[in-house]
Amino acid sequence: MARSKVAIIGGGPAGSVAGLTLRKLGHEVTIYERLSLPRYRIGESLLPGTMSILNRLGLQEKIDAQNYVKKPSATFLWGQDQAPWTFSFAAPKVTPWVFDHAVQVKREDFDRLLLDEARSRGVTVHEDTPVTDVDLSDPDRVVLTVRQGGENVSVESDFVIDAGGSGSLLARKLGVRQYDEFYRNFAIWSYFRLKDPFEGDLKGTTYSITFEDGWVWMIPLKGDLYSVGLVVDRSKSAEVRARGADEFYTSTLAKCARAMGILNGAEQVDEVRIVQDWSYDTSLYSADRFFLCGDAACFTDPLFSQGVHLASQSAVSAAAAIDRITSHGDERDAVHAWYNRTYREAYEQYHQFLASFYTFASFTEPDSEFWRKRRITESDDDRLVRRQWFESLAANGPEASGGTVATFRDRASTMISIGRHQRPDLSDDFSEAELNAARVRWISDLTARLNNISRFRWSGGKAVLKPYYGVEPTGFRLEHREVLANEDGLDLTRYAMDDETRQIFQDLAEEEFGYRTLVKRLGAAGRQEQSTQLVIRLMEAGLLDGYDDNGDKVFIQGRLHFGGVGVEYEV
Amino acid sequence: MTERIQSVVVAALDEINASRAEKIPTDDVLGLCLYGDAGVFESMYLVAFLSLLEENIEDEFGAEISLTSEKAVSLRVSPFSSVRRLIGFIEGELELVGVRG
Repeated sequence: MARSKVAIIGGGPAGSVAGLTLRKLGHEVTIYERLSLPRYRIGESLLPGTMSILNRLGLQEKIDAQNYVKKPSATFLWGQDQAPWTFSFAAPKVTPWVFDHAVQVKREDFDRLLLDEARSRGVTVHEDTPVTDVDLSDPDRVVLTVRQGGENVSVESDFVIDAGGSGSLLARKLGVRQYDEFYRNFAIWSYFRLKDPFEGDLKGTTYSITFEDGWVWMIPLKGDLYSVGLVVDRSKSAEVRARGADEFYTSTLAKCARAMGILNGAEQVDEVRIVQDWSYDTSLYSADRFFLCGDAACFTDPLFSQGVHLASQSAVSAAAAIDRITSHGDERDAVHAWYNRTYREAYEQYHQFLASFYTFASFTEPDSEFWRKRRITESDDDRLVRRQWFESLAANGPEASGGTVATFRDRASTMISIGRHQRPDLSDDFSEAELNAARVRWISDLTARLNNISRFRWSGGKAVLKPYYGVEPTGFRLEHREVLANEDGLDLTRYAMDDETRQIFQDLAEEEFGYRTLVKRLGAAGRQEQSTQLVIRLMEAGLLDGYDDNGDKVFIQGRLHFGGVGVEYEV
Repeated sequence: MTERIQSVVVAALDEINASRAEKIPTDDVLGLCLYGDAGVFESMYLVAFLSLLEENIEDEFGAEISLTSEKAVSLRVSPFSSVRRLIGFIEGELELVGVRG
């Protein structure tokens, strides 16, 4: 089996998960970490998709032994006078690696655990070893300059993964980083001694709470600690300089009555820390012999705790991509195209989600400058001009099946209505079960809309299969798959397709039948369970449009899904 | 009629299981929760399952009923909280359209 030598910059979650995956795939790996672990990091709230990846990498026992606080959900007090709403991670176990919870971690412990595990599995780890240069000029190898014992040393590898965080050497050197004007915030936070005040279904949840100056996170950690952070506009930094970080933190937090209510006079037990929170992505996620992973590639507002998940997901993908290129050198360009596209789409998903929620909150905080500045109201909003998804949305206009500018608010409203508590205040009486009625009602409405579709129209000529890739969910190898597309190049990459299913859509292109007939035919092809999901995603991708008996277009709004590697969660 | 309906539900579950890696347990099928905290379907999969079931009910009983009607979603205890509840709901709906066991 072909084997590559891979250098990884950074020993955080992205670097360690990439190292663990590459070792699993049989490659030789060296991690260069600038600092010595443990070292402090923010980003304590994880997502179930990360648990799933770590489980499949064989770390379950190690994670369980840490007794981290179990995180069953995220709870939002989102917008003035809004009832709390919770999105739960409870999910049907359709595969053994679906997790119904995440964990809340102290990153110094968690990152150390991952790096130690990588080392124990044969990854060479150098701590206190900054990488000072990466030379990509040789098409056959990568040359890194690392600083060890006060001396510069050159090391060679076949590939390099930059998982070096926001200070990424490669992103800077290549000039590929693109900042987003829309989310230029900073975060300021500290820790409080507080036993989780809630039992039952709220125990362990992460709170996100809006107030006039921004929003607050509250994360329960092991040892009765609460991480409490404020996300505020960058213009407030002048106030921080004038008044000092402690005074600014205390007085700004005091403006958030609902956070103060949860804290209930708890004692602050740590210093106040600040970090810049500017969203960015990259014009290039990988090429030739390099890959960017985690914060080295992109970062977006931490509202959905997606940081470690994007890091671990991209790390597995980069490792699988390197493995594929190692054994199939002629596919290099196609593999890079896959990595760039899947990573960009994952990032955009969170970004759209954020735009929805910020826009929703802006309408409930009408007097707040912070929220007004973050409202999307116009399709020519120049803060978003660079964003592909927004350009596409604006260009499609109000008749498009993908939605309109108003969809940002509507989508958040839909999700909030599905997760809204039946009582206005947080209380131990909250039960996950009370959300079912709203969810079932939403399902009923969706079903009625789908059943109204008496005619589907397939866009862009014939239904065709086109080659793509997917990561095999247990072995983590990148495998060929075929996906459904039209002749204009629009496609749906989420599902591997076969010719039998393609033929159903080709028949649909010619006969234009309705929803019930379509799901029946998909069922006969062995796709019964995923049929509705498939139809909705084809509509969202612009491949299918549905019409009722009057010839009116039927608008379908699915729930958002957070992806992972071979797993996804609906929100 | 209850047994006939149960057979139709189990057949639909078997059809779903045929393409599932992690099978839906059918040993205590009446107690099986379809949707919610301990449910076996996420939203979209439930929609697909209910579509399949409606088709199979029509084939078996020659009657068209809706499992996601206003009535179904207004019940205090959801018909999707267990297969037992769902069978009860289907039976009631079939009786309303004149189908007798």
